[in-house]
Amino acid sequence: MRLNLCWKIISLLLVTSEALAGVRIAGTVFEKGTAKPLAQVNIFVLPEALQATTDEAGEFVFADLPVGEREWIINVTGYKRFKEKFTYEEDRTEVKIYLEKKSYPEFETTVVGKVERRDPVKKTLQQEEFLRMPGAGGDPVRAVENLPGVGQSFTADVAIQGSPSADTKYLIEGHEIPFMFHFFGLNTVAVPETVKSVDFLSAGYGVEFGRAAGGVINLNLRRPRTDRMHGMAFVDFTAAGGYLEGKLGRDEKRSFFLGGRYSYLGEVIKRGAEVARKNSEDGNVPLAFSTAPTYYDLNLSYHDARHEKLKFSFITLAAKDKVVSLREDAQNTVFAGTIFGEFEFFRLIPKLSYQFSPTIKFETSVAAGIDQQRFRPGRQKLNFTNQLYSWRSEYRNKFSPRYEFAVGTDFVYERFHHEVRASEGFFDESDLRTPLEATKLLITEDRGDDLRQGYYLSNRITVVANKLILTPNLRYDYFGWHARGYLQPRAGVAYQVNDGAKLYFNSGLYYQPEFEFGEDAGDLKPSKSIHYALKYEHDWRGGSYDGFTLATGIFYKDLRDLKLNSSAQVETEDGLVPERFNNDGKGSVRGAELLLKYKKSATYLNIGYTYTRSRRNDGSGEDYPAQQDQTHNLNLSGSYRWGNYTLASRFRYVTGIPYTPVRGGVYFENADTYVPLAGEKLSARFKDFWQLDVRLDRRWIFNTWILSLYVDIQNITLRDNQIGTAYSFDYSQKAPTYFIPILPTFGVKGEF
Amino acid sequence: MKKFCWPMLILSACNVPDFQEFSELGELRMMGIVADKPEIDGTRTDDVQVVLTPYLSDILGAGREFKVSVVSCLSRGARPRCLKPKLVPYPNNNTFDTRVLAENNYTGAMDAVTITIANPAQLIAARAAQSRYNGIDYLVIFTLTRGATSLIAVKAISIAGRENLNRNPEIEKIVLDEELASSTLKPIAIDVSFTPAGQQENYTEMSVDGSIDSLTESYVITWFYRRASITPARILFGQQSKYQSSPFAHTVVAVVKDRRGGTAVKVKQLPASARLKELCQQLVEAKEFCEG
Repeated sequence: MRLNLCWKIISLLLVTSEALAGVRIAGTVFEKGTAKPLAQVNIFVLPEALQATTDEAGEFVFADLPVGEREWIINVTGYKRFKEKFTYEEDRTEVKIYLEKKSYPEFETTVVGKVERRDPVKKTLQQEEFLRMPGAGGDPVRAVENLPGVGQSFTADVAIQGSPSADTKYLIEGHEIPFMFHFFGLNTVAVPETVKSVDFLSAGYGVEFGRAAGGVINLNLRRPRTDRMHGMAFVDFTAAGGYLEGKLGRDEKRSFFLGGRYSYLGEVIKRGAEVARKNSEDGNVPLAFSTAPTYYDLNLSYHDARHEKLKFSFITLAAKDKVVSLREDAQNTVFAGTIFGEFEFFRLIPKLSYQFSPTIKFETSVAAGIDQQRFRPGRQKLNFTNQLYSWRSEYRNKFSPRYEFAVGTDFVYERFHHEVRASEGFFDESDLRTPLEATKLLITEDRGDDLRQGYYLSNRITVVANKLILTPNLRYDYFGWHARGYLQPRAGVAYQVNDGAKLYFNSGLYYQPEFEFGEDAGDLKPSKSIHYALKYEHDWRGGSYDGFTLATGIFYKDLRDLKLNSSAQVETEDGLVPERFNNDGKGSVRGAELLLKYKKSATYLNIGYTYTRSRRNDGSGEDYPAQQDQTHNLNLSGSYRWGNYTLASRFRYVTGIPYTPVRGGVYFENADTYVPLAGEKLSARFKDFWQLDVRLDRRWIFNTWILSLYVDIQNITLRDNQIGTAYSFDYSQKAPTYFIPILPTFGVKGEF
Repeated sequence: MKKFCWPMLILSACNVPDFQEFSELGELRMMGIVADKPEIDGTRTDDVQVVLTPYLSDILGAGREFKVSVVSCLSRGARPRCLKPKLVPYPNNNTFDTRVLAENNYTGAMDAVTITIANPAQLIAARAAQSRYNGIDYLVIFTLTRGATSLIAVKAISIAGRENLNRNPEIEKIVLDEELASSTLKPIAIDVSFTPAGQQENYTEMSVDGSIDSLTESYVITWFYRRASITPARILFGQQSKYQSSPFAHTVVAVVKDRRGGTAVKVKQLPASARLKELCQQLVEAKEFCEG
C-alpha cells in the first residue's frame, strides 16, 4: 500500500515537472495559398486554453507552452476552422500555420453595395466577375457581352445599343488604343489579371469621354500589390503567359508589375489544317497557313506612392498580331495570292495624381506610342503608321457638400502616314461587299497630323435633401482633320426614390470623327448622335453583399450625318474624283434593357435582356434595319461554388441579324469574278442565335501557391449559329455559313 | 485610324459549302471577253473602235438561241456603275445561236461586236490627273436572255493616259502530253505557253502625289473543263496544274488574264482516254457478268 502511494507521488511529481518545464514556441500564421501573413489572429491551445495573438507580421509566441501533445485551434471569420494536434518537446522558433480561406476570389476586390458613381450610365465589371464569367474565357471585354445593351458578335467587337462596333471607343486608362483584341477577337490585348475593372458606357454617357457615337469601353489597370512578391503562370490551348509583381524597396510604397502572353493558336490551326489536308480526298483545304498567325502582349507597370499626396505610376503596354501567308492560292476568289498582316502598337503612360486636400484632387496622364498596321492581301497593300500622343487631365473639387465640379482635357495628337494600294472593296461599308478585284484600285499616300482637342466641365449639384442630383455638363471637341469644332451639352438628373431605389435621366450630344483617306476631310463631316436614357435602379441588398439588384431603363438615339459609301463624282482642284463617302445617312435606335442580379454566398445569377430597334436611312427611300438591329437579346448566366469547385454557365438568345439578300450575280470579266446584285437592303435575317456555354473551375490550395484548372466549353449543344451566307461563284446557289460549332478550352494556372 | 475587318475576310474564306465548282462547265457561262484593245489612249481626240469577242459555254443547253443586248458607258464612282448606257447593235439582229459551236461542245467565241468610243480625251477630261493616267473604265455590258435563263457580263476597257498601253496576253498553245493522258490513270501536268509578245508586261502607275511607279503585271490562268478535272483550276503564272483525263471526249478552256483588262482564251477539244475507256468497258462487262 505504501509502495503504491509512493509510486503515485513519484508519478505525479514527474508529470508536474513535465508540465512546469514549458517550451518557447514562436511562429507565423499565413493565409494558405497566398502565404499572406495574418494579423490579429487568436490561437488557442487546449486543454490549458492558452492564447496567443499574431502581430502585424502574422507572428505569435507562446513563451511557456507545456511539453507534449496539445490541440491548437484557430477560428477566424472567412477562413476554415483550424484544429490540429502538435507535440513539442523543445523550443521552436519557425512554426508555420496556414489558414485556408472559405473562398478564393482572384484578388481582394471588394464589391461594395452602394457606390456613388460619377457617371450613372457607367456599368463596371470587376476582375472577380469577368475572370469567372462563362463564355468569356476569362477575358475582360468579352465578358461585357453579358451585360444588357451589348450586341452579339462573333469577333468580340462591342456593338453598343444598336450602334455599329465602329462607334465604340476602346480605351486603356482613358487613352485610345488602335485595337482592343488580338486577331479573331480572341483576347483583349491586356493580360486579364492586370485589369482591375472594365467600364462600359452607353447611351447618355458623361463628358469625361467623347468622340464615340455609340459608347466607350475603358480598361482600368490594377495597381501592383505591395505586400510581397506575387506571380502567375498559365497555359491553355491558345496561349501561355504569366506575370510577376511585388514591392520595390523595403517599404510598401513602390511596386511593379511585369506580365505578358504569347499565343501559339496559329500553330494549333496550322496543325489542324495539315491533318485536314491529309484526310481530305483531293489534298485541298479551304484555309492553310504556311506560317502560323501569332500574337503577343506585354505589360510593365510601376507604381509609386511614397509621397502621401502625390501618386505616380508608369504603364507600358505593347501588343502585336501577325498572320502570314495563306497558301499561294489563286483559286480563292476573295484573295489571289498570299496574305500578310502585322498589327502592333505600344503605349507608354505616365500618370500623376495629387490630392491637395480631402476635397480637391488633380490627375493627369500622358500616353505616347506608335501604331502600325501592315496588311497585304495578294497584290494589295495597306500600310498605316501613326505616332500617337494623348493627354488627359482633370481637376476635381468638392466645393461643398452640395456642389462639386471637375474640369478636364482630353487631347489626342496623331502624326499619320497612310500608304494604300488597295481595292475600294476594302472600304465598303455595306454588308454585301463588292468583290475586291471588281472595284477600282485606290492608290494613295497621305502624311499629315491631326489634333483632336477635348475640354469638359462636369458639375454635380445635390438638392432637395440629398434626394435630387443635377449634373449639367458640357464638352467641347475640336477635330483637327475635319477642321470643325462642336459644343456638346450633356446633362443628367438622378432622384433617390427611397433608400434602395434611384431614378436617372441622362441626355447628351455626341460627335464622332469619321475617316477618309487624304490630308483633310474635304466635305466629310463627323457623324452626330443625340442620346436619351431613362434608368431605374433598385437595390434590395440593404447594404449587405447578398441579395437582388435591378437596373432597367429605356434609351433612344437620334443618328445624323452618318457616313455612307458614295457612287457620285465630286469636283476637286485636280478634276472630278469619285466621292467615295458622304454624310447622307441617318437613323435612330430605340430600346429597353434590364439587368437583374442575385448573389448569395456561393450562388450568383444574372439576367440581362435588351430590346433594340435600330433603323437607318440612306436617303434613297424607306428606313431599313441596321445590321445591329438585334431585336431581342437575352443573356442568362450564373455560377455556383462548392468547396474549391465553381460551375458557371451562360445562355444567350439573340434575334438573327439582318442581311441583304442577293438576286443574282453579274460576271465582271476584268476581275474574273461575279458581282452580287443586291436585293432589298437588309431585308432578310439570319437564323436566331442561341448558345449555351459551361465552365468548370477547380482549385487546389497549397500552402504557398494555388493551382487552378478550368474547362470552358462554348456552344456545348453544338448549335449551328449563322455568321454569314456563302454564295456559289455566280450567286446562283447559297448556303448559310456557321461559326465554329464548339469551342472547348482547357487551361492550367499556377499563382503565388 | 482605319480599322480593318480582316478577320472576317479570312473567316469568310474558310467556311465554304460544297457548291458547283467555278471551273466546271455545263450551264450557260461566260469565260472571258477579249477586247482587241484592252486599254485605249486617253489623249486621243478621234473615235476609237474596240472589237470585243465574248467566249461562252452552254454545254447543257445543247444548242439554243439567245437574245443579246449590248450597252456601253463610262463608269463612275469606285465600283463599276453605269448611269446613261448607250445601246450597241449586235450582229444577227441581236441574237446568238450556240448551235454554231456544236462542234466544240457548245463552247467557244460568240460573234464579235464593235464599239466606238468617241473622243476619249474629252470623255475623261474632267477627271483628276491620277485617274486619267491610271485609267478610267469604259464599261461594255452584255446581256443574254432566253426565257428565264439570263446572263449579264461586264467588260471594262481602260481609257488611260500612260505611255505604254496594255496589250492582251497571247496563248501559244495548251501544253499537254495527250498520248500520256490517254494511257495513264494518274493526273499529268497541263500548262499554257505564251508567245514572246504575250509575256508579262511592265507598266507604270501614278501615285496621288504625281510620282510614277514601275510595276510588272502578273498573269492568272484559269482552267475550265467538262467531264475532266484540272487542279488547281486557277493558278498564278509559273505554277502548274494537274490534269485528270476522262473516258469521254471533252472540252478544256484556258483563260489567261493580266488583271489589268487583258485576256486571252484558248479552247481545246480532247479525246477520251483510251485507258479509262478500257477500264469502263471492263466494269460494264463485269457488272453484266455479276448480274447474270
